[in-house]
Amino acid sequence: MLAMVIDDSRAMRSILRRIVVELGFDVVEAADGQEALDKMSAGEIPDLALIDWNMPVLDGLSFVTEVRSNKEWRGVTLMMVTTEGEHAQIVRALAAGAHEYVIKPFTPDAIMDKLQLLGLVGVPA
Amino acid sequence: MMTLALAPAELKSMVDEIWSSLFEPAPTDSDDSDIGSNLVVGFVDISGGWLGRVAVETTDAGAIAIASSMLAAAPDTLGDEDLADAIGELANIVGGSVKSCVEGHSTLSLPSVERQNVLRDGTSELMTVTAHWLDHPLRVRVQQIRTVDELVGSGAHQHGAS
Repeated sequence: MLAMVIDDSRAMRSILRRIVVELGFDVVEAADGQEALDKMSAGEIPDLALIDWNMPVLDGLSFVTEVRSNKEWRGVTLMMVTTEGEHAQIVRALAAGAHEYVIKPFTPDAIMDKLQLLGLVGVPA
Repeated sequence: MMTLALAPAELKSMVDEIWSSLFEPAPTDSDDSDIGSNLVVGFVDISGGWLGRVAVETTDAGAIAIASSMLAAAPDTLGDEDLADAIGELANIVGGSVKSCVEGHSTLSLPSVERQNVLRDGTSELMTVTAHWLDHPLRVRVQQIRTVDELVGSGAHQHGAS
């Protein structure tokens, strides 16, 4: 399975990359929502997108809205990974079509737990 | 005016939690608030019902150690952009945690990184946490920016806003 890590921080992309690679994903990265949309339009359609909220060019919420408006991308699982922790903002993201929400800082186990809930990684026996 | 519901002890707990989720080993406490000059300073601004700035400061060597850990890269392969990226993201995470203690809706700026004091005119230091990590000094500062009405009333003015 392919994961797309979308965050304007290379350091954060590196951290998330290591976590999802450990869980068996191949990884592609994007530095903002527009770069992610461009890669998807070019055919790099991930099974999972890990999305920061506050990014230049195109923010995470706008990215989620764009992805959800394209029927060809309905199979992409969207998980926000962001410092944005306001309840109203979480509700906005979920209403826009995000499946899960993780607030930074997070542990690798927190990411794994969410992906298990989404059925994207197996639960240890 | 909305307020920031955050005590210094809670800020310290926040920093400890953030550090434990990103780095090993845990930072050690320090009472020395003077961590030197020529610092790498990452900061974000919070705006809304409460206006403030959250800054993460460390030395060049500290920034290299942090970036090396976050990027899983050898220190001698890192450039200034890598240090700025890592310290900026750290400020973003700390700032997001501080923002969660602001009553009502507020927004967080994208992080900026500078090599100077980022205390703005019209701001007041609310609280500071200092620590050491791998022998590198760290300082997290939370500053409140007065409202426009307060600034006009005091005759102060703002400049250098990011």
